[in-house]
Amino acid sequence: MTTHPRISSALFALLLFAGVSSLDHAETFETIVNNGPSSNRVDIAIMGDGYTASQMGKYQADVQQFVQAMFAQDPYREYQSYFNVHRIDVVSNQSGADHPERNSFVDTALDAAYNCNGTQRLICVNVSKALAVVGRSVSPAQSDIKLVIVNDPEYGGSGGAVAVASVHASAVEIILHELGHSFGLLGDEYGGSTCGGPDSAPNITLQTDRASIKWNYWIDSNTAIPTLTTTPGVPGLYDGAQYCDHGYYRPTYDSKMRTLDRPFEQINMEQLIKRIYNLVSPLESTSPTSSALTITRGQTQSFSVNKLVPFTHQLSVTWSLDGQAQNIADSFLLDTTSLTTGSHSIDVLLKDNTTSVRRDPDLLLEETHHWDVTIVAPSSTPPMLLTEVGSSRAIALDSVTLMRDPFSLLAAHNFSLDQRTRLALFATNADLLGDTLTAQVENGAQTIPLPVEYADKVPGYEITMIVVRLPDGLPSSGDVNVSITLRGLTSNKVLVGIKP
Amino acid sequence: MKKYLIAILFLIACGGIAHAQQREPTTASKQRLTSLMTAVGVRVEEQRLLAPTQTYQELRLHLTSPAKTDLSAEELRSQQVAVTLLGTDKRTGGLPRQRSFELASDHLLLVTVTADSRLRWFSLVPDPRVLRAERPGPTGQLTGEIIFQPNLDYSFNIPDDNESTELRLYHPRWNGQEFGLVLLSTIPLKKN
Repeated sequence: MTTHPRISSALFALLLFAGVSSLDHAETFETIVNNGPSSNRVDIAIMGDGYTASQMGKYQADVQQFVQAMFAQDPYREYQSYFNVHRIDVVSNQSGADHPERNSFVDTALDAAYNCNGTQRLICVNVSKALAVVGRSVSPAQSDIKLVIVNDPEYGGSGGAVAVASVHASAVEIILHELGHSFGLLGDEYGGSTCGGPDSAPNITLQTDRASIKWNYWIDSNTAIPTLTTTPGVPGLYDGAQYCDHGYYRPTYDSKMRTLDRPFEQINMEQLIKRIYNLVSPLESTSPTSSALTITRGQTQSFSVNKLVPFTHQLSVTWSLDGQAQNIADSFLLDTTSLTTGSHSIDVLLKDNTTSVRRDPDLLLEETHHWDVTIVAPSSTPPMLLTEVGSSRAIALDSVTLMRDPFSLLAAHNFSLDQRTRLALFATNADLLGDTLTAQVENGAQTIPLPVEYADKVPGYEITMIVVRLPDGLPSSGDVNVSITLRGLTSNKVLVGIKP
Repeated sequence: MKKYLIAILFLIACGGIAHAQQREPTTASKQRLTSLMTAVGVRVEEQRLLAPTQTYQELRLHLTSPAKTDLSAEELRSQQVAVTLLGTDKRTGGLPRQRSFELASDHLLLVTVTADSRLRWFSLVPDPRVLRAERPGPTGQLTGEIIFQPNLDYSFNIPDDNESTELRLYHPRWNGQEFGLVLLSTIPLKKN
């Protein structure tokens, strides 16, 4: 659904002055990666904690470094144009984070603290404060993913509704892993002592029967189940996952959901791409915006789509008319000349055919758009030649001199080799729509055809200009009756003066 | 003068949002949504689903879950949650539209319903009670634990909608084959 911009603007003006929360106390924010409307992008809101006012330059550099590192890795690299990134500048009174284990405390905006819950490397922030900052700075559509970067070099972080990481060198890796959980709905692929839990994540299973493995369509038939190879990137069934050394299985020997500085690998990559498409449609916009069109037969109508553009591959666009595939391009020109009157349909299918996704039961990687097109017959009103006011004398001009009648049949100044005079006549209800228009002169009982050399709409007007050649056989002087015929309908008869 | 400038900037920004094409859940997702919602007594009717709104409500809540030590993490997440409404703010801006209805056991499903239990809106969000503490060893291989926070303040964004009378929090619970929904809490919504 689209809203008329004036209506929406008026609505927002009303809301603004009707007590909707204003941005008076909002932190400043900058959209540092802007790839399109937040309503059709994955938006990341990044906040800093433990950065003083004088450290805002460092904060900006830290965020930039993080963003560059994040979008250097697939699938974020390939789908980087599907993301926006907003940097919210949160100023703290003091630098760093709390270290209760060494009795070191600082005053920061989001209360970042190590040793959270008794775990030294676990950094917690005050989530309420973080959400308040997000809420008063950016809209929910601009904060699909919320991150806090803590200005402390010691390794640490936490995953959850708000991901937290220090500026340690591993920060990007740990955040990418955490986004695998919160954004990708992926499970942990490492073992441990807190074994158990549901095997609901797309990369975790308890099943050892090949046919029952969620990702079996990625497993080569020659790969043994369970899989023992240590070769990276070989989909199979590997023992150990979900905090269990045995009994829960993962799809590859290693991946970022098990070990930092590894790729996500096939199954996780597929899942992350589908999660990107959870928030992003491959179809950005369509034209015409109206999905119901009425077109006069004979006219043409252009249809087009604006699509998302991954880094190294293109989405396919397929058009169909009444269910029959037409062309494959971003736009489609419908020529209605050969269509019957009545209802027709135009459909467009956009699809990401990436080989990184082998199964997409929810059809997230595609989007269709449908137009109902009604073809109507051209007007049954006869064409009408324009005349002078209160007269049946044609508005007719010599096509070269633009002089009015009377006209000589021949003229020395004519550009044509045949020296014959051409007249420009003007008519309404004379849209050709692909049909042929004829013109004629009535001379007593005799009808003499006038060769039509040009007929087309005058740009910007509902008037058709018709250029006819004055042939032999016309009277050498006096008025003649001229008319035109289109689709079997003959116009009014207008007078054109002829002179010797 | 500054307020007018902000208003103008707002209008420009919001005009852009209004122009953007809105996304709908895919057909397969709608079918799964209908099936799961019907199982918990919520009717899904396409025409009653809420169209995107340009204002939303931020609900600031205190969540209290039972801190039973004898329960597994999954069981803990399925226990009823006592919710205290700390405050509400009405704000401008659109909420993200999710095209998929994929569930996860460490997420919460938020739904708003009408007085006659018809679905108006849904959103899957990370369960704020779940905190992951993960750390790499010398080879980069991770170890970690999931910390369950039984008491916390959190805020949820829901559409600004007069027809919605309740916000419901569901925990998606996996039975080994498929997800079912466990109702954690119901929060009455005041009309504007």
